[in-house]
Amino acid sequence: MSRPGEAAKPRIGELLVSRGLISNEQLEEALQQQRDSGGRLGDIILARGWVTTVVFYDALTDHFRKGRIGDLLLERGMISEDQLAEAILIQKEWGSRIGDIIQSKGWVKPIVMGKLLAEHFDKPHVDLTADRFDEKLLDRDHLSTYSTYLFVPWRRENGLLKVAMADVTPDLLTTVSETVGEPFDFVLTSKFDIIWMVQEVGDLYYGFRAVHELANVLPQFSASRVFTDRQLLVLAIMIAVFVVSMYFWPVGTLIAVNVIISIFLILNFMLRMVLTWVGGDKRYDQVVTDEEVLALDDKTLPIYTILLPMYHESATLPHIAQALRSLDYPLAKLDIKLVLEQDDDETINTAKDLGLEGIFEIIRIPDCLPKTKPKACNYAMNFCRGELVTIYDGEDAPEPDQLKKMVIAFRKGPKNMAVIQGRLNYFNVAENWLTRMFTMEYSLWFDFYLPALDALNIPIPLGGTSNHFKIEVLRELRGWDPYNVTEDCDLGVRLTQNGYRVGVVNSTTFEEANNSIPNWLRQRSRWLKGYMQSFLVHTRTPIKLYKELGAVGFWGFQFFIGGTIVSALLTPVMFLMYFIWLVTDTLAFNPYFPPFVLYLTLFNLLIANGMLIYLFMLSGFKRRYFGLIPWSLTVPFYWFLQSWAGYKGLWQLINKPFYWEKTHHGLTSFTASHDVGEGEKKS
Amino acid sequence: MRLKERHLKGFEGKLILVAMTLGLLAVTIMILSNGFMLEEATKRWALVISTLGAAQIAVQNLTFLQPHFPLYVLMPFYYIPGLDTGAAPYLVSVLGATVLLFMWDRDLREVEISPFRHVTLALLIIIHPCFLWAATSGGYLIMSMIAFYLLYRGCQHIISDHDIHSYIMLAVVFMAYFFVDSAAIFIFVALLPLIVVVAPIRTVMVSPSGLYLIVGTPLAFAIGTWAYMNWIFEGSFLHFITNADSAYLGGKLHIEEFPWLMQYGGQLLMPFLAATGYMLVAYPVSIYLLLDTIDNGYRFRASFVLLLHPLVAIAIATSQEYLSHPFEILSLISAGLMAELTYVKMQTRREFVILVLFMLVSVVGGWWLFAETSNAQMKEWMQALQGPVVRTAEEDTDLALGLWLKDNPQPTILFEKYAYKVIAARGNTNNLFLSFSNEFKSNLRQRVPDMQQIALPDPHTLRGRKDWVNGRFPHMYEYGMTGYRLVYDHLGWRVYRKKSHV
Repeated sequence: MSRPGEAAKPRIGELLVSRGLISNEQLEEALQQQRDSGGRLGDIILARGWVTTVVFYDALTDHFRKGRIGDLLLERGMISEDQLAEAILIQKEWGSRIGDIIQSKGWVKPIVMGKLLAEHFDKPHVDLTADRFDEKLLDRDHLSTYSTYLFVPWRRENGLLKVAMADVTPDLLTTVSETVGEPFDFVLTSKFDIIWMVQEVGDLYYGFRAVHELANVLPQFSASRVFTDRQLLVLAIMIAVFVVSMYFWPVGTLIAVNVIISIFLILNFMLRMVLTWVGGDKRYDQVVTDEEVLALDDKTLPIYTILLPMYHESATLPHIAQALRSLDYPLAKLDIKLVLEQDDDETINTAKDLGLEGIFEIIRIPDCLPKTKPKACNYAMNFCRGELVTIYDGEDAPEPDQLKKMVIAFRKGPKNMAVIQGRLNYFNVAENWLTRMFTMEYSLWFDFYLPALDALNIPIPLGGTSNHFKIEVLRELRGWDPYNVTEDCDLGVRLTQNGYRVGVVNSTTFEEANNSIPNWLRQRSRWLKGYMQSFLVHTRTPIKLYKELGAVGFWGFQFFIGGTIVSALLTPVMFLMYFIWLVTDTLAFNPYFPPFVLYLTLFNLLIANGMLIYLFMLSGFKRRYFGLIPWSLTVPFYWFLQSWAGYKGLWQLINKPFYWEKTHHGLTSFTASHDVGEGEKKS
Repeated sequence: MRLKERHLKGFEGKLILVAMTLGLLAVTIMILSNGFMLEEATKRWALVISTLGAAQIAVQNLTFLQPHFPLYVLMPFYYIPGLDTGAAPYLVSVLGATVLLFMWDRDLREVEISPFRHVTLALLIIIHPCFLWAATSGGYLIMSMIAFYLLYRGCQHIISDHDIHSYIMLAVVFMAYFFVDSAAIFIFVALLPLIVVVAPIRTVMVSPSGLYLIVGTPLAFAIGTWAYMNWIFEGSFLHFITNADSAYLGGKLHIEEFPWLMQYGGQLLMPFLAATGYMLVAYPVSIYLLLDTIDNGYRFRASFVLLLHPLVAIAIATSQEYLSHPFEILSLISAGLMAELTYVKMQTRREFVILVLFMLVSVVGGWWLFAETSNAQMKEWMQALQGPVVRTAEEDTDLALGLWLKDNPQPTILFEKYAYKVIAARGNTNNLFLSFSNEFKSNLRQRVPDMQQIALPDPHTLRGRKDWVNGRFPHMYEYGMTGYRLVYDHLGWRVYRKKSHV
């Protein structure tokens, strides 16, 4: 349909012939069919397979397009002239399409945009909830492709497959063509229609895949089995040897145990000293500079998926939505998934009520066991469109340039760099003693240890959030282990085992530090249980692990992950013995502490513990949380809490290995912010 | 090409350092062959061989009255055949000097100077009496100098880089320093006011306490650890600062023996002024460095600290009646100067010549001051550099007993605390039962001891009065004991042997 004043468009058939895509005979044949049985000429040509859909629309795009999207929106009064001008300006900067920019700004709802796109391409717009697709046309093996690229075979009309699409680009048409493998034409729909309908149909498939794929495809990495037979056998042999030794040589055996424990603790301490020194090196501290961020061309930035797994966290939703809007990254290139449990009506309703921009999508996770974050993330992975993907928690406040820094770090890093961990810290630092301890611990962990692990090529136990993945690697490794309650720690090790690099970048996400001891114990016991799971999983075949990680990586893993578990479990035992000796002045322990062992133990008690306290001080100093430094002297009490959590985790590993002990968020009275100065900002 | 040149330069530099080390070794051999012996070195060596020769090796036998690190570094030499003559402490000194020179050589690469200039500077450093004394006298001063060098490098890094490494380095060096030298605490206290010059003013203003905690906590832990070890093994947290024999007291209990303490002990300002005078004579190069860097804020701050820090430390240590001789701390300036040279611009000929001139004047002034103010041991050392040293009768006595015991290695009771020269001369403690051994203790509990030999000093001498065996058997030295006969009697030492063992 020509507009007044516009020249009449040439006919489709003539255009195709003039471009040499079909012959005159083919055109005649198609016209004949049109005359005989009706239908659109384009559909007939496509159905005959003379021209592929991609080539067809590549040649005829201008024929179908009705003006520009921006103009259409303006004409319909959906956006103002100022908004259009702003969108055009942004487009120059971001390199995104106008429609995407307008949706990301929330000026137009996705459903409206879908209708407008249909008009733009002169195609029908379908409401999939009313005009359901023909399920027989769906290929179950391609469900993930449908949900990732937002298209779905809709119906077959006049022998030609109609595919419902949320967007039309040449690349997408190529993907559709490769997926459906037959001539097709498209209709337009809203992306939410596709997501909801595909989810409805593929619920079981996605759910099964999220839970069982790793265990089925890569069982050696799945924690679905806590102990292997071989591990149980080794454990039984060790216990037997210990019992026999105790029977025949009780003193010698206990001395040997003492020596092993002392040497292990010394090595564990030394590793932490080395990590602190290496991690404090400027080279590893400033991986990406502010200048590099400034020099980055937004047009070159990839689509970035952000997963927000949440459960009963409706209160934090407005905050995280705002935090994500504030990111220094083209909004139109963000693909944000609110990963919500189906039974969590409260959060789902809040998300709806917030009227979020089109870049936010809700993914509802079906109610099935295990009800864990990794399962939810695996499920959501089927819907990710980004080249890179990251996870944030509801209470997170990432530094605005974090995504850009990650893109730069990936570009600067080696090709096998699969994931980059952002640093984590807390915004409610000064809320109470526990938050202070937690902050220092996290600062030490993320500002010293992880960069050092990265530098030394030791497997990095990823943190719970702000880890940024290349999605194809994540998919290749079958995502997170839903049976592992510290799935990120496990994934970090698994990636290294598979020859990938795990990096750390100097960008911080501020979270809410646990301010309640019972809540902290829940969280920490889960973490330590997860560490135990990860340790057990990755030491199933220690020789293979050694070959894959090398000496430094292997021993680093043993002492960093194993050391964290062992020291948590040993601390109360060692201190109990010490206090008994101190209070009672007993000589009962003397036979088990000959001079050599006594010196090792004294070294651990005095120098090692002293220096570990000092490391906490350094963490506060480096973060410029100077007020925390004196508090580090109280860290031994924190170690006892850690031990408590360790034993709880061990108990749960035996009794409820897959139980996900939920940490409650939103308990703080502090405002979430990435602009933290010793957490002084109270709400 | 540049890389190759660098490698060549590095290689040349190492060759030069090796040559210098050999030179230092030659000087050491010369002074030893001329009869020089540092009492403190002999004492340390005796303590090491006593401890390692005991039936059960125990750290507490080293006592907690002096820092342990200088003892630990001697331990490997105990097991090396041929070093039982007591040369190990001197060898350690030379090795320490070598380590310091190599560290300096590594850091000096940042300045990129020619091999000739490198050699010139190294020679001027080495021939300064403070360095030469530290490197060849067998004391642990050279270890203090290494610690001070690292400390000063740490300060420089804080000034220039302000990274976390520099703070860690400073703090850890202080901690290590405590186990090297009992004067470390004074070095630390003296640096406290100067931290404000070293650290960025922003950090100082925001959290001075945080800054001091970061720098001082490891040292505090080290002191706490030491006190705890004293409590565990000696029954008192403060044993190391209450025992009269403790090195941590310095010259406090023997002020009359030290002219410096006699003159300035207990004062703060006067020793500071005196030390300033000493510094001006022995290290005028410090003043040059200060003036040379006046237009460069960063480097000026470092030079300022180098100038003031040792002087303040001397003043504080003297005010506490610890410091027996100012050179114990003043010598550290040599190490600080080495660190400073890694930051000094000396690209132009003029700059280099002026620097060399000042260093030359420092060497001359240093030797003059050293000669003028030297104590008995320093004098002996200077004498040994020129020719043989005349030994006193008492030293010969200890040596004689030690050699006699070496030839008569039967099980012997000996109270070792004032007989370290005897042990050093004997070369080992096989069959020697010292005060920490069960045999020593059990024999002293009996009315008549059951030991093949008992060595006793004259109870009329100071060490004889402090000797535990004399204390238990007060008449034995004079009259002997039933079942024992006198087998050795030479200038204040007697050895009794059980009659059944003739």
